[in-house]
Amino acid sequence: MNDDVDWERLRQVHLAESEERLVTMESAILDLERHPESEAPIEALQRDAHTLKGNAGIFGFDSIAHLAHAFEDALAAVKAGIRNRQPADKEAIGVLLKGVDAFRESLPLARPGDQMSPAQEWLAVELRTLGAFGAPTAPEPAASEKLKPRTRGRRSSDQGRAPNQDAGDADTREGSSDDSRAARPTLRIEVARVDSLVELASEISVSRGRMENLLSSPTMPEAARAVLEEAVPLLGQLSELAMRMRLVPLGPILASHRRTARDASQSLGKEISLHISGEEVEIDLALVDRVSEALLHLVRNAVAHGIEDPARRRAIGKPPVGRVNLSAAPAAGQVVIDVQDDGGGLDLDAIRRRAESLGIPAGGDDREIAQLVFAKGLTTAAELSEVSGRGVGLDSVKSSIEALAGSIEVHSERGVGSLFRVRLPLTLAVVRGLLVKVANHRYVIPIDMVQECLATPEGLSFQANGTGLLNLPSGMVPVLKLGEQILGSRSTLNRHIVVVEHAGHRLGLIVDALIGDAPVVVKSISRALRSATSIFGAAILGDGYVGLILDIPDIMKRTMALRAAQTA
Amino acid sequence: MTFTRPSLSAPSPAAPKAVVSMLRCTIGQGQYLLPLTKVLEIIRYVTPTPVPQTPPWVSGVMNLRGRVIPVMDLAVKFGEAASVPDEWTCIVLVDADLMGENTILGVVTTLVSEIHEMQPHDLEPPPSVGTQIRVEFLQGLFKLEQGFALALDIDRVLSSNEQVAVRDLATESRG
Repeated sequence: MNDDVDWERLRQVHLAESEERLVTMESAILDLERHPESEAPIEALQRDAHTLKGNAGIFGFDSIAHLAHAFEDALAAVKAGIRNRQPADKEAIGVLLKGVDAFRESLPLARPGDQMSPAQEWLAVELRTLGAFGAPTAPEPAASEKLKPRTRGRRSSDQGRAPNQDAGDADTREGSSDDSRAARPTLRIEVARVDSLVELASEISVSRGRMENLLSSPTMPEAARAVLEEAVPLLGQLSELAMRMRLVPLGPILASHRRTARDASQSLGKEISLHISGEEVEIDLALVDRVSEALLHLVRNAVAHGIEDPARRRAIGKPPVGRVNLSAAPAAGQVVIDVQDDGGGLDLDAIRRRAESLGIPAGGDDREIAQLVFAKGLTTAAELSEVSGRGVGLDSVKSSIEALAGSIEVHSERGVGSLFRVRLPLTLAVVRGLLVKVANHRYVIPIDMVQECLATPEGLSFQANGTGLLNLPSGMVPVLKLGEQILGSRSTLNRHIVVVEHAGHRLGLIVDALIGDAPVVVKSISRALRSATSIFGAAILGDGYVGLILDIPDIMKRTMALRAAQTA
Repeated sequence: MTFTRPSLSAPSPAAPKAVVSMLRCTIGQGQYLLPLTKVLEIIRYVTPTPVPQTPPWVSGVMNLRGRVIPVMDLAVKFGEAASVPDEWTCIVLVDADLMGENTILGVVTTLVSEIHEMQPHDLEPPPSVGTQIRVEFLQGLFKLEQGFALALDIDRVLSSNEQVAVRDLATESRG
């Protein structure tokens, strides 16, 4: 029986679980740093360390088991210290964080029956030393319990009992004390499986479109109509449910940046408290890595350039500990993530001077000047420190967010602080699109960006480059003949204008006809067509035709370039 | 879709391992051979959706059972006029290796003829002088009863970003 167990698969599940556990542990250590006299974070850490050790035992990862054991010793010592009115000090926090880093590095490399590497040995000594000097009283019995050689011995002695059952036991043992994990039963599924489900759901939505068309046909037999009327909404729900399976909560991603803030503030000698909210907000799995990377830059940036030195803060009457808020909230088909600091705000004069020296036009009001921080090359050399940049500026943050069909803007008040607001689509998998027709082809415009649609007014005049200006009650809007300028089509009718809005800019796209709106499943365009521009992806429309989804930010950029070339 | 078995060359008694199956098809005016191991499927021509800012030999993208597949008109790439689809026009779906990345691509063919099973020595090396041919895109020449078919190194042809001047040889080979 036991030989049938797919150990590699189990190991993968264990790895994924451990990664989450390490993020939780990291958060607990940072909690401890903020409340060095509190035992609660230590108790949480002890449970997690114990589970790590137990799981390592099941797999026979001796190096991890020993390291976890040393980690438990350190925790017991810190806890004993707290009971003796010795709060956890910086050194203890530092060593514990190092421990988490070591687990994170070693877990993927661990093999059954392995030995600790010299670096791991050294860390184990460091962890135990914390125990030796910091704990005058006897450590907890649970932690001092000798690491029994239960590893493979247990595996062989418990024959016929699946090892995942062991893991299950460990979880139920802890379930009673760990409500959050027990509250919502979860199931781990490979992303590839979910993706094939999403793929299937998109094919179903295509058939559903055909069924809808059938329903409007007058020759439809009554019996079939009844069946279809029942099936169509059900299939719709099924598709939507499948799409939602790719969404994951932002919590762990936000939490991982507590470490970012801590490390940045330590190396700069600043004091920061990071406040996180909106952990439950969900986001498409495909966005997770890129979002986390953008947040890494924004949080470092807030600590390095936003928050002032403690001395300066005291001098101007601010609390010495700077505050950084990292919050997420859902907003109409989008997710908004804010990184806000109570630091000095942007130096708009410096930005204007720097922009002018780089030849970037720096006109407009303060709000517009502030957005220049995202311009390429604007980050000054003096600002490129180890912490905030490694040479990666806000311009690359902006372009990576725009690549995800999102936007970023900054609001800043001198002396009060800055707010970087990132907006992202809830999911890249489904977009509600406005279908338009240009020269007999259908295109999709993301409906979140559509402001209004109108008939092309007679007498609207165009420059030779296909651009013009439209006078709307809300102001002048540049317009562009989409077919001629972007899509390379001839013989267009240009009867309608779709006004789109993105990142504070508006543009009127001139199309031949408006068809309607529909949710579409976004498919990426093959890398083989990487030269294609102005296209965000492709969508299979109700009748099976491939409609291209327009990349509105890119089209706006092109229009601006066309208009700039014309005035030059 | 069914194929006729090879009728031109007598089956060779050599070890079956060495036999390579090649699909012969017409692209533009020329006859070409595609390794059958690369061919996934042959489907009736559907008009692809054009994609802006792509090279002229990219016809566009098509829907293959929910997947979005790029379609290439290699006739344009080989310096001929774009294929004009008729009832015989097909799209051959190939599993292309584009610089280490496996991608399904559609190739427009004017006519799909038959499968040849051949030994490696049935292919003659392409002439390196006297034509504009880019030798690296070809695996060799295959003699037909009339003229030649060019065995394509389809991965290289599809990976390259330039027009491949094989026109002279291709039209010549029509015989």
